Amino acid sequence: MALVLLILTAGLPLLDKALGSGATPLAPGAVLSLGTERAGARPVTFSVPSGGWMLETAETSLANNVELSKSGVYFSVSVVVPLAPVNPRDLWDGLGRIVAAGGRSRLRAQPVPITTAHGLTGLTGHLAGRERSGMATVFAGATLGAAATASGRPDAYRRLAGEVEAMVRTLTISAPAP
Amino acid sequence: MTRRPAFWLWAVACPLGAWIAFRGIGAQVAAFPVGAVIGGILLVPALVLGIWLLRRAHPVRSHPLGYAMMTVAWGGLAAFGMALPANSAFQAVLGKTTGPEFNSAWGAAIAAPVDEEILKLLGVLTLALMAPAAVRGPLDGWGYGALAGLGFQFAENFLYVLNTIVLTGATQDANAAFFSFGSRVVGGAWWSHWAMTAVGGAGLGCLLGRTSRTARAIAAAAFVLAMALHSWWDAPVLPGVLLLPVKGAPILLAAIVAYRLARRRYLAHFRRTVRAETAKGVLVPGEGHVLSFRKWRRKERWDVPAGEPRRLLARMRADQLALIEDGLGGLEPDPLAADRLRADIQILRHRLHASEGNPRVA
Repeated sequence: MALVLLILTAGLPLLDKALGSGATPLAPGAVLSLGTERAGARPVTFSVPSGGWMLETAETSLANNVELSKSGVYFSVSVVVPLAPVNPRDLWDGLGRIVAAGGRSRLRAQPVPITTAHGLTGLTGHLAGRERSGMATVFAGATLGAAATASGRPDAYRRLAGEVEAMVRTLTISAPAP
Repeated sequence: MTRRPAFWLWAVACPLGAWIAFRGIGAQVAAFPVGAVIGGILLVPALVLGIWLLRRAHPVRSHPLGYAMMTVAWGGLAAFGMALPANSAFQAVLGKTTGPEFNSAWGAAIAAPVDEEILKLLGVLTLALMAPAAVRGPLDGWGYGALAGLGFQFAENFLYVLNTIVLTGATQDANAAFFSFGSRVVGGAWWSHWAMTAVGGAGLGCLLGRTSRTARAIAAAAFVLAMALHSWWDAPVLPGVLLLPVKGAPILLAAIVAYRLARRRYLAHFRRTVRAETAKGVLVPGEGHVLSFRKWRRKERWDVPAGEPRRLLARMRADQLALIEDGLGGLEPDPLAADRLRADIQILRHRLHASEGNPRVA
């Protein structure tokens, strides 16, 4: 019985570790979509304009979130399903609490408005932690929202900040069919 | 019980599981205190009600509270806590080997049934190894399996309160807690973990009661069925809130059928043993009817003077029920137990008749 417990709680994590990161390279221009699939489509999409980004398959659950990485910078997009209509400011405050619960970083300063290439408006601001730097952005759609965060070592993040912002500006939210 | 290794496995696994769970969700509890407190306030009474109902599901006597709580603790602490890293690793392995699209659709339907059904069912096995008399057949296995599943279910419900807060962007913590409770407890508790593990537990109880090729086959089939039901629930088929009752119906139905079969088998043994012991003179005619119903056993106590006579009556009834259940089997059958219980019953009956008021029982 103890052996079964050991296999499940230690054997599976060891197998996972033995398989490596499992990150999959993404081609420049790759489009990723997430959220609950309806009629073959997921409501939140964004594209990866530049090369070198990897899809972290172990940390990705397409129904909820996608995580990418490049040179020690991690970029994550999550779907937000509010119970009632919310504005970007509510989402920003909520994201601040969610990021703080992660324990590694916090949202800093006041956010500023951001508009994507498709006209989606939201708020964006800095994110910082111990030897970590990054950004956070929230968008509120009619029935869905999205939150994007990126962080890494300050020098690594500085180099990729432009690419991260470019990805954020491609984000779209389509309202799911009722 | 404390001399048995299984007890120490239980005693280590429960705090270990609680510690793993705390490490996983403790920061979220601290970050979303309002939602966490409301979730706790809503879930605890529902859990208490669930424990009461499942203990009462035994047709003759409730499962002992101590054993029930130990099994619930296994499900809610040991199984739940250990399932967190196991599920996470299993799904990560699936994600790496099959890709995110497949993992997103089928990952939970593959990983959760394997990890969680094994972990929950180990609660029944641990109890049987700690207290062999506790699990003597499919009805006990069903009951304790359901209790282990219920413990797991409510720990998971609490996790889902926190998950719902995150999914809703931490914008409405209280509403997220109410929404999660409504969807997972009011709407979804009927065909959840308790039902799946009850089915697996009934099979395991069959095997623990009496080892035979048939019992092994039943146990294996019940375990596979429990995993299949779990997989069915997590599978991306029949999506949408309106179809949840349709999706949950086979799980509830399987649990009810398993219960009815286990109950019928128990009651058949009960009646057979009552007839045999009445013929031997250990039970007096009519006593079997009193023994069959909690209500009658409770009522007859009021006809007996309080104090020593009532205590003697309670001991005699407990011994009579133990004698009847002794024949069901178990992990460590005691060939001398039946004769010892018969002798005890005779002595207790004699003392009861000689006691104050010479109460008329049965």
